Amino acid sequence: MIFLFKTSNKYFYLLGVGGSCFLGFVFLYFLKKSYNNKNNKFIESDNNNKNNFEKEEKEMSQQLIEIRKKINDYSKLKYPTKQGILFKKSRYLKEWRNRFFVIEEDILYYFDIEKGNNSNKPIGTPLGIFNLLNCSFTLITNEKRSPLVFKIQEENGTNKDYKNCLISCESAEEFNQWFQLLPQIKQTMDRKKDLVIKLQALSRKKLQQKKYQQLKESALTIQRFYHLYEGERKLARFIFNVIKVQSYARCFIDRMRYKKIKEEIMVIQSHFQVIKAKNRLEKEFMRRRIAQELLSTEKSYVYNLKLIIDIFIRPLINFNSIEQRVLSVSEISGVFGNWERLYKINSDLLVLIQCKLDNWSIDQTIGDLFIENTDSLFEYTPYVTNYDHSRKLLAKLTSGNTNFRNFLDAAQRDKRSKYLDISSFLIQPIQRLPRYELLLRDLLKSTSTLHKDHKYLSKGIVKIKEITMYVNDQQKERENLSQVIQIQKELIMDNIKLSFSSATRLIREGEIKVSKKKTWNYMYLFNSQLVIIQKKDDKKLVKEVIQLEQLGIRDDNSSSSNTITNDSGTDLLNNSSNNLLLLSSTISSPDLSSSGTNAINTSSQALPIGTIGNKFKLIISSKTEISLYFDTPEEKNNWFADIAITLNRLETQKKNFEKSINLQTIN
Amino acid sequence: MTSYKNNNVISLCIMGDGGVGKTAVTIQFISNHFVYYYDPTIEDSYRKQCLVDDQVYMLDILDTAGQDELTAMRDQWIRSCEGFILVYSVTSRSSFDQIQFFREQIIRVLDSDDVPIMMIGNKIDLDDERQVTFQEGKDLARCLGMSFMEVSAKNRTNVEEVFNETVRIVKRKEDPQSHKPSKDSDSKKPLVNTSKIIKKINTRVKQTKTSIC
Repeated sequence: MIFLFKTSNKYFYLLGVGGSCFLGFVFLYFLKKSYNNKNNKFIESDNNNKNNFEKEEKEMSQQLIEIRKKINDYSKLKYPTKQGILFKKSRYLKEWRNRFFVIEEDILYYFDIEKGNNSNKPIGTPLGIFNLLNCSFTLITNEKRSPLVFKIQEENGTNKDYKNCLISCESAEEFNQWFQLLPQIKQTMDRKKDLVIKLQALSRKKLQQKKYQQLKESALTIQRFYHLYEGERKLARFIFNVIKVQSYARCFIDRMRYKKIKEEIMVIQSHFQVIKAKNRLEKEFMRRRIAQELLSTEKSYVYNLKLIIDIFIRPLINFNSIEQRVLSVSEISGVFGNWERLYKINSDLLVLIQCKLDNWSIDQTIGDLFIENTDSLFEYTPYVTNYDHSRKLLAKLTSGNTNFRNFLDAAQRDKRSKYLDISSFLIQPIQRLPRYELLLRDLLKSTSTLHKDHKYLSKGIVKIKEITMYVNDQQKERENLSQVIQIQKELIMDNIKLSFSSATRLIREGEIKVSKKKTWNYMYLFNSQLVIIQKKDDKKLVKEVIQLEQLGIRDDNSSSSNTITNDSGTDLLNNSSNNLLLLSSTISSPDLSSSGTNAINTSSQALPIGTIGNKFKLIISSKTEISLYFDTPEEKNNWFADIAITLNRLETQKKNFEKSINLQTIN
Repeated sequence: MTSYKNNNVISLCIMGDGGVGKTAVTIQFISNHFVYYYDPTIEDSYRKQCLVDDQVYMLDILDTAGQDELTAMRDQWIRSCEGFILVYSVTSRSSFDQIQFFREQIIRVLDSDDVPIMMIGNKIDLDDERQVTFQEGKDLARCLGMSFMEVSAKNRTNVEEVFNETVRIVKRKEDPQSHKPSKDSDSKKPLVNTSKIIKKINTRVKQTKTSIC
């Protein structure tokens, strides 16, 4: 009771707990008796006491080691349920000793008590520990000490391994107080478990709430962020829209620009087409204009031809009486030639040209006219060859014949003649022929190559050229003939016979010397003869005539001696080959006859045969030689070249003649 | 060819290589316009009055266009004229080289070294394409005993002066004493000197001929 008064609060608490435990233990005790045999349990417990102690020691040692690590002193127990002094029987000495027992939660501890001053304080580590939830309580009646002795036995699931101890109390009330706590302890433990479960649930809820709150906060953060950058987002959208609009605009602008460029290209193309068409039109314009000029010049030419007939020729012919006649018929034909024939030819040509131009179109041709209808122009030849004679006769008549002079004055005053002199009219046919070539050439220039007239005009030009060259050549032949006749008249032949044929041509003439000391003589080179004359008192005496067929020439002053003779065949061949080489090298013309004619025409060319000295020798025969001296080396070279060319040409003519004879014999 | 009655009619012959502008020069002188393209009023013989040294002359001008290869027919033209105008183009070296051959032909046909010849260089308006300098033309003219002038048919540069000078040359050749009313002794000496000069010129011509060949 003193013990109870000292710790009233604690004892009260412990009583409650002990009471509940005691009730629980009693209940369990009775249940076990009802279900199990009493004897069996008691027998088993008596037999296994020793084994139980050993096992108990092991378990105790283990538990004590674990608990002692945690609880080293009674002061560590903070919330005891019940505590007090009880008597415990020792294990090995079998003595009943006082021990301090403490119940905290579901564990029963007992400590050693200080000896000495009856302080009743626990000392040191707990001597034993029992888990009350695993223990069973049995009442033992065999003990001598008192009837209130009970056994605490801890079960570990098996009957073998367990530990126990014997505890006794002073009174039954105290016993009840100690062991009625057991159900209370269980109740508290169950309540504790429930609380733990609740706490766990609460913690789980808290965790969930925490997570939810975190999510909410993050959501709010996101929302806040979203709200914060709303302006930028709108700006980005705006920029995107702007870019989109810009792209549309750029596309539109590019399309417009492309359209503009395309229009410009079309304009340029049309411009080029216009230029091309303009060029074509200009060409056609020029072509038509030149054709018109051809017509108008032909018209005026024919008009002038008719004018001469009307003003001059017909009045001169139609004089009735012999006394009034100004010119004779031969004189009229001498002055005017075949003028009436020319008038007819060109009036016919004018009709054709007029017909072409009346039906003028782009596809009209005019060259074919000149190809087919210009053969009659060959009849200009007698007029052209007669022109020189005509001019001289006209001069003679005007100076001698008074009636003719008066007639010309009257004719010149006629307005139709445009104040042109008769000589201006007489020269017009000569001027007209080459004019055709000029006109056709310009017409060809203005005609495209695709036009069918281009071919005709080309052929027409060739034909007109042939006609004019033929007329020119005929004139040249006429001049040569008159020249030879003139020379023939001047020469005086005493003993030597000199004959000229119609084919004789004068090539060269000039002064020479036969020797250094003698006076100057004169020499003519014809195409078949070489004539040396002597001048005495304005008379020309033929001194010597040399036939070129048997002539040879040699230049002793040159480095290489060139001898050309016709006597021996071998010498002739060798020397002619050498000379041919010289000729071909200098004149550079493969055709000898053409080279000869070229050399004659361009007599200024000189062969490079010795520039030293002014003489060379004529070899007439094997015994006779003549040395010729000239004024200058250049003149000597020119004479030598002409003679050499003439000799070579004679040789080629001879060969051709022999070939023709052979052909005739074969035929 | 002079008229039997009127001494003031002068026949001129214009010669030159093909395409140098003979017809253009003539038409510019006669009609006062440049022939850019063909003109239907072209005639082959042209006659025009001109005033030279207070005297009126009737010029009868022959144009030898198209006569480039017809040497025999050209001889007739040469015989029928009194004065000659040789035309070359400053844009064509070959036409300049042909001047000598034209002169030689004139001298050969007329059988005289003393022929009134005027040498002119046409197309001086095309100065960018010039191939013959003024000095070259002047030197050749002096060497061959001809008068020299450069003209432009397009711009009518020196066209009148060419024909006036040609008339003066022809008249000077015809009547040398009328222009020199001096003593006989004085007149004889220049004649002798001129003949010597002509001989020297002929030798020079031959040298240039050989050098050219």
